[in-house]
Amino acid sequence: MIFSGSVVYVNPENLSRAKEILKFSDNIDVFAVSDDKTQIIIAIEADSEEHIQKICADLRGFPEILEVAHHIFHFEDEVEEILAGNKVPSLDGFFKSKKREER
Amino acid sequence: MMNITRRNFIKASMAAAAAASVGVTLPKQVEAAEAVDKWVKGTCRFCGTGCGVYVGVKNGKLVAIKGNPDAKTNFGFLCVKGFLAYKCMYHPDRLKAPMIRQKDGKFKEVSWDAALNYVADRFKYFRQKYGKDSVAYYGSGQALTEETYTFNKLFKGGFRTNMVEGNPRLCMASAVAGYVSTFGSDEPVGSYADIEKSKCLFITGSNTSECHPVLFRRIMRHKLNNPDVKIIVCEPRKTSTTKIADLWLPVDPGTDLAVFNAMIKYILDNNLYDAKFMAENTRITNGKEVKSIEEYKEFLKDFTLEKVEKLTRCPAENIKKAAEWFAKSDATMSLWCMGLNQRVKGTWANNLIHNLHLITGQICKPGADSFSLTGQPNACGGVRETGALAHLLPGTKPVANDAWRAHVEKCWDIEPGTIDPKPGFHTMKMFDALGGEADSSKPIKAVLVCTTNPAQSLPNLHRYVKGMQDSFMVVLDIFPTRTTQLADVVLPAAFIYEKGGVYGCSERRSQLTEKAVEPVGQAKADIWIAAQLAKRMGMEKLIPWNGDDTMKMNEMAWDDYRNITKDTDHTFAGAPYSRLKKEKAGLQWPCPSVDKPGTVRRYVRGEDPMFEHAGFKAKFGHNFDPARKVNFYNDAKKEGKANIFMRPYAGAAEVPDADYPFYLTTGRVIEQWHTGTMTMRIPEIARAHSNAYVEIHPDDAKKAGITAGDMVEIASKRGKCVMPAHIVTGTLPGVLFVPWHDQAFIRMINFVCNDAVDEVSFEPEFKIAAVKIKKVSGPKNVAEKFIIRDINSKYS
Repeated sequence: MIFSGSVVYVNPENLSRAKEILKFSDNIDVFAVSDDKTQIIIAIEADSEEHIQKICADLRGFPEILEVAHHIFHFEDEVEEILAGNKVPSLDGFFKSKKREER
Repeated sequence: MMNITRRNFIKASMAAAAAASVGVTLPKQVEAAEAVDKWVKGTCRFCGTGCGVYVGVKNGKLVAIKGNPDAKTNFGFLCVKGFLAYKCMYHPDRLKAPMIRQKDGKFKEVSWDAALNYVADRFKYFRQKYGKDSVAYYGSGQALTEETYTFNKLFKGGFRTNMVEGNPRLCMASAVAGYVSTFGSDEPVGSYADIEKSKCLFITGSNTSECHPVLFRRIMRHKLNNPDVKIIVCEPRKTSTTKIADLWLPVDPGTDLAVFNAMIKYILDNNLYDAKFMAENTRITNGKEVKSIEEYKEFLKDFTLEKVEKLTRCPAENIKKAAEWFAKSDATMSLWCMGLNQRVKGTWANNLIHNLHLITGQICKPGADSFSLTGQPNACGGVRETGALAHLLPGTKPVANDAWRAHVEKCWDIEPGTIDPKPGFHTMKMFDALGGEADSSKPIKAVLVCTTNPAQSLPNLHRYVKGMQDSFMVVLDIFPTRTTQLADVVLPAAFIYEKGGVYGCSERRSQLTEKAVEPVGQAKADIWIAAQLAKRMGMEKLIPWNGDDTMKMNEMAWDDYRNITKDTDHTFAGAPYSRLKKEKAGLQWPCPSVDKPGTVRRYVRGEDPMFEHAGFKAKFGHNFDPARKVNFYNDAKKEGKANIFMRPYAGAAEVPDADYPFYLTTGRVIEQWHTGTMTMRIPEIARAHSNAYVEIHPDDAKKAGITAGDMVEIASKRGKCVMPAHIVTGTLPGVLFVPWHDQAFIRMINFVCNDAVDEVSFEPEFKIAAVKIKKVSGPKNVAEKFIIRDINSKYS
């Protein structure tokens, strides 16, 4: 699992709608809103960075959400998996390319 | 399945950190626990912005990273490159043991003793047989300050050779030459903090949004908060940076000198210049004589808006508007990067940007500065400031300067006359002079390459590969690269968070990264490797920091460097490790004593401590006129003035013709870092821009019968590549763009690039080549994320 601590930027008039959008995602927990109603503090839980990037891309697709900015990532589980040899960062394409070259 | 409580704690911890970064208070009921054992302060490993980070360590492993909200560079924000650095550290491809190439061409793992003894013996042999200049060093703006300083000291003070270069020659040398020739001293007058104080930003030769995303974010927010702020972008391509621009100055590659001169002419002709500032603080010169404003106007008479439009394809009205905004704004800041530097007239281009600021007085005040962005995290601190180039000594002062050479020799406690007064070879000449023992035309027989990948990053690569292959080449790196494919010895290096040390970023700010975790495998810090080589070559007195505690070694090297520069304007006398450990945002030089806060703006009385620095005044014979608020005190003529150089128009070394009808320009994209040896191992990054591609304007594509995705051959007089076509409208017709991170041989664009160099800075013209294109096939899937994994793979 990968976790991020992130900030969602919104225009104040869109705050309620933005919170509704965020509530809809199982991967997102909303923790706080700034006093000026432009920043929503969230935590994202995802299977991988790629998953987080997809979640954020989806969020950015809503006109009410101006930006999603990350401040912190926690990837302990990923490191353990890599070091245990259970998860090698994907390099499949390289091997295919080498095989093609060798042929 | 992860424990529910742990998940909730981690999420609360993440939210708490994010909230703290932006000053939001979490509700009391949120119970945040630390998800790591400790947070260790550091700096991002990637671009020259110098983002402050904390890396989270648990059970001796790096498991989290967060932006440092107190950092003056990034205020807690990070881009995707910094977030994912951990995957480089723990990637299975990390080099973990020293290796020596055997007679069968394959590498064999050996002990550190065996590897270091072998390298030391070979270096001794070459020096004895071919002379002191036969062994060279090629370093990097990614190595730590202490590491580069140590190698520089070892080679210049120990080996007595100035054959010391670094990859900043390829990216920043023209900026150095520009600052030194105009102001008498390298590096910017102001700081990033000027961004938020500016009323007009002139961005040229920099796709800031892709190459310095965190700074772009600052610019973007400044613009969003202050819509009246004007943003001008001068670029051949309509890059993503132009999305926030009020004005785009499209120019053919290499022609922008004419645009800058036209802006200067317009400002002078229309009395938009600051006559008082010019009279007090500048001199107009052709390099030999001082000239008047009238003579400067006469010199510029041909740079009319109309003529320049014809020459550059930049609309006259845009040039006029840019000149007016630049001059009339309350505070104008220029930002540029490789687009200006990597040119045969890069130094002149830098001079002309400085001229714009000097004639308008848009400098030495909040929000107004002529600011060169750096490409690498420690090009400024590690290479420029420690003088680790062939013509420099620590303090960015020339090796040919008798007094400074004597000073350095005294500080290093070596015999007077030890340091060679003659500069060594610049990078392109160095690699051209590199070869095997059988080739008597190649005087350099061995090279130690540290933290860089010249077998991919040099322009016109075909010319230099044989030299690297035939010579004795030692490579320090963390991954197999194109350069390790040509190496004789490979030494596994530690990652920044495995060793600690200082990085100095674009704004004269140095920040200390503390060692957070142990290196993987047998990897070692570069400073340890340098010290062990010194010891084996009988030079342990010169490099006494040869223990095993890398932070202690770093501190000794840092103190050694600080001692040399303590009475210069580069001084970090007030920045010992004990202070850098406490400072959350690092310190900006000059910082002459521990009671000084560092310097946001140079050359301004009341802001720059050098005005009151007795040691500096005594050592360099400076007298400051108390009536002057601004004093460019490094002026060689001792008048405290900056030079406004009259620079004529000169285009690229190679321009399109009937055979090679297109301009080619190259650059980076946000997700990739230089040759991609680190970033291409990060799957999420590799997927984003996995392979190089060529951007072609629709008109050009149509004429050549090329459609999106077609495989296109790009050929110059020097070499060719094949890659997919991206049809884009954001470039001028006749101008092609290719990113340069791809390691696949067929897409390594540097085979095509030009190695002609600037005659002042010796920086090669990566940015401009004349090429031809042709379609070779329909679309092919080349998204293979090619990287060098096998240390025994061939250079092909």
